[in-house]
Amino acid sequence: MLSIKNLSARAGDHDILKELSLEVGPGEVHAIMGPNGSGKSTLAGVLAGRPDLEVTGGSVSYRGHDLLAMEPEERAREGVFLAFQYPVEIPGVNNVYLLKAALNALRKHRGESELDAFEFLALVKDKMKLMQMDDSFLNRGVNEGFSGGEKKRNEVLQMAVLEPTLAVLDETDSGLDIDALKVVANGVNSLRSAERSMVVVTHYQRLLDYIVPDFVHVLSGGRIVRTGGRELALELEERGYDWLRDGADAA
Amino acid sequence: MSMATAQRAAPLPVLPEWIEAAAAAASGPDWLTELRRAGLEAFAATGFPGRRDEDWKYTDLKLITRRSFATGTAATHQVPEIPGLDCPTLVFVNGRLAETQGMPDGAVVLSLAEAVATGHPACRQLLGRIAEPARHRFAVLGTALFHDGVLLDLPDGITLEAPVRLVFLAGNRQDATLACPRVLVRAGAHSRATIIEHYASLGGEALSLATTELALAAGARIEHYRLQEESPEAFHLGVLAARLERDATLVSHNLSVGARIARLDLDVALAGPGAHVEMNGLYVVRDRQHADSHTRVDHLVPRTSSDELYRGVLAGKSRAVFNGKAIVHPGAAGTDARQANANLLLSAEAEVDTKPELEIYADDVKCAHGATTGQLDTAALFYLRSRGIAEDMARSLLTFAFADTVLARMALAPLRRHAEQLVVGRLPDAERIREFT
Repeated sequence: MLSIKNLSARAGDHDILKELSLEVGPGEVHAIMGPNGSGKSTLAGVLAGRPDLEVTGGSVSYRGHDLLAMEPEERAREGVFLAFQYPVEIPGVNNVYLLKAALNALRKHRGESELDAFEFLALVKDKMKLMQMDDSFLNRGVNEGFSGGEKKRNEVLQMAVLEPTLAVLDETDSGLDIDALKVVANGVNSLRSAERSMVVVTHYQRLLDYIVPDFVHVLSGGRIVRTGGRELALELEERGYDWLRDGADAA
Repeated sequence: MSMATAQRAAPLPVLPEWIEAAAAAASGPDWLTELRRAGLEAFAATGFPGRRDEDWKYTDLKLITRRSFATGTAATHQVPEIPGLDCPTLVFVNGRLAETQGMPDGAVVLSLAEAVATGHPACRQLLGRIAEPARHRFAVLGTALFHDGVLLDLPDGITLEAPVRLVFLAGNRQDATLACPRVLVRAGAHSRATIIEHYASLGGEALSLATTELALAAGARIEHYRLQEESPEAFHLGVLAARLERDATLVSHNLSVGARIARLDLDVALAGPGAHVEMNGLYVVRDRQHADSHTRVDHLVPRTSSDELYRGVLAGKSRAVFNGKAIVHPGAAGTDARQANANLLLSAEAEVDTKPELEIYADDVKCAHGATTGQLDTAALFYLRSRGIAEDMARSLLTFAFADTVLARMALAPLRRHAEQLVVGRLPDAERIREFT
């Protein structure tokens, strides 16, 4: 599904990812953990094609294609979805129109017919129920005036409608209270399937109580320094990141 | 004036022949003839503004002064349609009344030429009195040259349910034409009306000197729409001046997308406590278009308020000017003045000069102003692309959203849709954006 080999990337003058490698198979959920500044969000951004990040080395193959050669919109149409850590407010662009345009761009790319307004609304309302969002979300500007929790729900709503093949969740748990976290996790879990892979970036173990990963990777200094199962996350919660950071420096 | 200054003063510039010809054709009763003559003299004394006039520093009128414009030319016309808008309409072609459709009862809408001829008191009382002559030389010139226009005289307490639409068409494809549309509105106490001024072209070069004066008595409420979609060969010099008495409200919408050079001086005097003006403006220019918006609000008495939102979208080698002046006069305590101007530059060759000016001579006032100029938000652009929206489309969508923030304030839905289509039609990917609107 996703094969990252020796990926290096920088933002401005700062080298952030340093020869990072990661293999994600179909249906797998990989958690990426690590201290602040370790490069977690940069990894998520590079996968989605954030234009301010510069790839300086390595390769990323997604379903056999060179992901790095694709424009952000092409990646989206090929089934890559990034749930933003800080979803952008876009006043004047209607939330539901964006979602409809996004879905139809995807369907068109796949050679499927575009959904009409009626079919689309039925689909969205169904997914909104899952995310416990009320109808008022439909007619607001994209993320306009949304609380932190509402923005994160909206991200997962988009993901539920667009049904990506590879979902990258960038700190989707940050800023959520426990009830909102459960709703968001429930939305994500409903999308787990044998064909869909997920990369879940998080700072805290808490999210992984609800979205149980197959693999946990610890990112430090721009590379993966430890890989394990779910128990690694629990160990991190107990011991913090410092013992790994030291180990990385020694290695 | 000191002797030294007087000696250095240049001789009066001779008026261009086309102005003399238009002035010779203008007629009326004695009081108007006198007003016209005084106006012409005043204009002759100053001439066309040049770069050294602070108020015209960024707007060069050479393209206009180099030309001459014929007055009173006829042309076949078609009224530009606004889907869903069915209301009383007056159509003027090059300043001459050409057509009226479904006038409201009570004879509140009159041909200005007719009102002048029949001695309607509002004409003598208000014409040329709201637009301060010292500040608005093109209003003064318009007074000297106008042939016809509209008097809207609203009796106390009346509410016009339907809007009144005034269509001013300029040009005739053969000669460069001159039109001096003139609108005079006397809104009686607690009257309410919606007025649309719609400026469009019949092709070819044309100069419109468009002056509108609004006098709002206590408690009156006027919603005023100004749509300027003239052809890229046209020149448009407009003045919109209003005086508001106690608790009167003016809501002004100003959309400027047309003309080679377009200027509007919007000048509002808040003369009674509780008076309120809302000013919404949008200019969208491309190629070599030039749009200049000069707004001024005088807070003359306690407890008046103004709320201004002007935005601009500039492409190509276009240029825009925004100057927003708010003056809080001595004693005008409790003034609330808000002003915001934002500009989006879509090309490296486009240029905008924006200048908010606040003059505060009173205590206990709330004033806020801000001006920004920039490009599209890269974070928003990436967000849209990450959802599968193509980059060009995302750019157009964000541009439209930026502009639509102003248009969303238009209460009259058919007009808002028309305005949105005018804006969308000037952006790449127009068809796709229409799906969003």
